[in-house]
Amino acid sequence: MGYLFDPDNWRWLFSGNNFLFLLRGFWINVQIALVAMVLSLTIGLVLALLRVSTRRLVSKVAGLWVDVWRNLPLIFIILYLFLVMPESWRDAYERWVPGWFPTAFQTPFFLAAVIGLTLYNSAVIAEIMRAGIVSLERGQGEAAAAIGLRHWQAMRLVILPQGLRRMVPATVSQLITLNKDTTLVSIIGIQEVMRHARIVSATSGSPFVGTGVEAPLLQVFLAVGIMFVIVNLTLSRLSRRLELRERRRTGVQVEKVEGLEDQLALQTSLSDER
Amino acid sequence: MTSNGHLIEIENVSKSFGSHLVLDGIDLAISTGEAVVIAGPSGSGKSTLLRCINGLETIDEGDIRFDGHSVPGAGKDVFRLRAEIGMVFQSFNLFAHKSVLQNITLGPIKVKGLSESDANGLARDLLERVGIPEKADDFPADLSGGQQQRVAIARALAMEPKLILFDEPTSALDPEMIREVLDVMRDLAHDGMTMIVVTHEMGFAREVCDRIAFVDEGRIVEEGEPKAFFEGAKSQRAKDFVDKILRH
Amino acid sequence: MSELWEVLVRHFPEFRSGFLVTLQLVAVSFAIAIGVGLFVGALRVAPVRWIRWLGGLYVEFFRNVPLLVLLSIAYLGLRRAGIPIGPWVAATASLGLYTAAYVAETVRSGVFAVGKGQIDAGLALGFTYGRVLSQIVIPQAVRSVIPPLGSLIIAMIKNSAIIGAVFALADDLLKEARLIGSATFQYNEVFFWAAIGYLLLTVSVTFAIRAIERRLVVRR
Repeated sequence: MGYLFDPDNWRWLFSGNNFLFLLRGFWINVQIALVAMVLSLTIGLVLALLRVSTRRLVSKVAGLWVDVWRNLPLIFIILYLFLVMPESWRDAYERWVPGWFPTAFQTPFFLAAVIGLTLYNSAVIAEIMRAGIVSLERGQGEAAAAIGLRHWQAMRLVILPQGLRRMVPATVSQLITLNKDTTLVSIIGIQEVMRHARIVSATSGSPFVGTGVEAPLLQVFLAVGIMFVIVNLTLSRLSRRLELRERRRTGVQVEKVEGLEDQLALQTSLSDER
Repeated sequence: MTSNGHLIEIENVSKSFGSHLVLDGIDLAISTGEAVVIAGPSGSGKSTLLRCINGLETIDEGDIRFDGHSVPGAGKDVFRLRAEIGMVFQSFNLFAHKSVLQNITLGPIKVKGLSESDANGLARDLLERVGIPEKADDFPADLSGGQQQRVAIARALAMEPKLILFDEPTSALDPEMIREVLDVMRDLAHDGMTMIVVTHEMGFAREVCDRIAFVDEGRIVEEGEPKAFFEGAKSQRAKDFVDKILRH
Repeated sequence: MSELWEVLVRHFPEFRSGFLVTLQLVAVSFAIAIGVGLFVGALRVAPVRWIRWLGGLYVEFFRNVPLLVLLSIAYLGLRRAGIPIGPWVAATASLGLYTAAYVAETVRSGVFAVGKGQIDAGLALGFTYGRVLSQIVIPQAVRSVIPPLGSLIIAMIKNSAIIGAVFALADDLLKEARLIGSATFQYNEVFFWAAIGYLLLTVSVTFAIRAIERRLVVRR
């Protein structure tokens, strides 16, 4: 305990640009999370719609796709893509990537990171969206059918507008998980907060490249952890507020993600069974 | 209209959920302008029968013809038939993200291709008719149950249906709101709307409807005018049912 | 196709050992998660305010921090601080303490789901508070806690792969796959079988939970 709270072990935080450097690393994680979130939401919606298609084959294939990707470890997917991604893809990405992208986004393996995060998260989100659609289909979908709307009309005019609105809190919650998961891309060499932490700890103590103030790994990683806690707590408060507002407005329970990301998906697939 | 003048012809319809037989050879024919109540104990298959008529449930055997067109045979075109059959649900099922007015105009605009101003005019007339013109711009969550159900009736009427199905329209309502919904339904019946009503409201059945079909264990056990049904039911099961309700 | 089988047959011992290590990691971490999670969950429903706050502090920290940060603190940070923590302890403690925060939340919502009406009814029958807990609250809470616990195990299986991917903490399924892959360069085939291994675990837990849940369903 003494070691942990010893002020001498925390002095690095205020010396030189250590703190700023960590923060800049963290900002990259947030950016990666946002990019992956936008992609995952778009693809997740398409997958969810295929999943509830009235064509059996389409729905089965989409279901298998979703079940495979959401049941594999994310780090497994990222590492696999990193190991097998053809050089031509990496070259193509490097040629395409615009110069105004953050530096971390310009490395060739960024493609593997984003595809990995999107494959996994779009599957999780598809499952959450499917649950939302199915829960609306019984009452609202039937009422839409009863006034003569076709399947896609009912989906577009009645189910999706409500389903997507109910999804907002769950999406914010999933963003928390995604935000944490972005640290995994450090494993394939992308410069984000975990890498920045190692650099701070390795250089700060040196009088030449640093400021001569030792930055112990324990404290540096703790500082990184606290950054995540602050941002994610803010997000979960926001998610809670949105949820309460939605419940007040429509009087219905919103789709919820409690605990780890898969909880909701599993519970709803279980209740479908009955 | 078919040769024998029936708007709805239900012929030998059977359906089971898994091993449970819910409908067991139902025959029923209803003419334009008739108001028919389907009564019977809970779980007897009444609601399922109603949901088969507009194709929300599929049937295993038999045929249902609406205005001469087979409902099970319509396949993907069943939505065309549904546009001519209104339905009012027990749990209202108003579209929660749309205002009262938009709930009523959605069908006319998207299915029948009415212009927005025509649809709005129609909707306001209908809200007048069900007695809540002032609620046009409210959202369903702001309305009482009775008001929501009256909007649901207006929504069904907006499609100018040839037939309206009522699936226990008052069962989810507090007692003081049942009256307002039944009054609207009574007016509809008097105006000559063809309707099939699944309900436990035997007062309504007695005073308003033209015919009662008593369903038990998936069969129509007895069928006739309300007076005859309540005063001299032929079958024992119908007698027991009437006794229980009158004593109640 | 034959190449696919060949890889499995030739490297079956490595796959098997990796699979078993993953299984062990999950089992040990889950035991830690349940133990710590029940304790923290109990803090969260305690009648004293500051104890609840303490439980909340634990949950909010461990739930919002990336597992990789915990692993880094446990393995790199503590070692540098002079605490000689072994790779296995670092790995299972990190995964266990991380998941414990979710277990605690599951326990808390399970207890709340039972509802005050049930407790009142028990007390009205003349049960003591302890009796009400043991006879009425806990049996019902267990039912509502099983499905979320199942998804926590699934999440744990997936999260355990992080352990083998960094610092070489354990030779789990992912680590073995990388080793075989780097020796044979048959990454597609190797990762295919490793994926089957992970899916075998996650999907069978899904089915197991479904079966248990069906048996526990309260008949109404």
